[in-house]
Amino acid sequence: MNTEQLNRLLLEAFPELADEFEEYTSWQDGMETGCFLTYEDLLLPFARDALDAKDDVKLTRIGTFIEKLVTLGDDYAVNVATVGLLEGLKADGNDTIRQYLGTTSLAEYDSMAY
Amino acid sequence: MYIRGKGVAPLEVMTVGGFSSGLFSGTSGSPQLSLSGGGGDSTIQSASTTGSGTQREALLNEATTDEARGIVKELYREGANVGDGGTADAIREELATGNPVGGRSHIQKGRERLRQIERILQRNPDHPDRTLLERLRDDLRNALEGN
Repeated sequence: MNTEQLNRLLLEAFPELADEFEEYTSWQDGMETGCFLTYEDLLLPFARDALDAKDDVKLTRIGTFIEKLVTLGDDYAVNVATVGLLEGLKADGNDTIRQYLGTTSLAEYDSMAY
Repeated sequence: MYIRGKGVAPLEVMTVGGFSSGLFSGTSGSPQLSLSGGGGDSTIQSASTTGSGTQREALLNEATTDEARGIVKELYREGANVGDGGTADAIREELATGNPVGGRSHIQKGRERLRQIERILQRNPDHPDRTLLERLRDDLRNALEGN
């Protein structure tokens, strides 16, 4: 999966990020902006806000999306999901996200040493 | 054995246990040392070189813009303890040992952040955090080049 495809996946799953995405990527590489950047700088804050707000609906969507990424069988998607998202969430020290993760992403999350 | 911070052009270089530490722009105090086995030779690294906090905290305190703070936060995750806790040192560890930190490669992340910082500096030559961003850029570039 290339950068554009993975960014498209992000926008399909979280259309509410579209405006922010457009602004954020407008001075970078558009749809080819690196996904560590778009996922860490757009989806991660979205997830943190959902955690702070205890927004069950959003957290379910986020957990489902992360599980999808780690089970796609695509190296880039897995790398972004683990290093970009799960590592960031784990570092925050709020384990609430655990209950929203699927089997594979939860195993990844729990195996991270922090 | 890998040497952290090699190649960085810091404003102040602090030597800890024979290893040069890179990104700090100033501050003093008694460094706290942590021992961390990388792969192969043991490596002595400074978990904190300010005496009052981590590299992450020092860089966050130095940053004056949300843009720079955001980059520091993602490059230096809370609690990360390989080298100075930054992505560049994770890359150095990975390249030196062949073992990705946490079992997952940080190289692509480093490449993307490097490109982003270069873009920011090109776009805004008078960026208020230019010095900090240049040091982050150089650190990532050196790490990716195996230095």
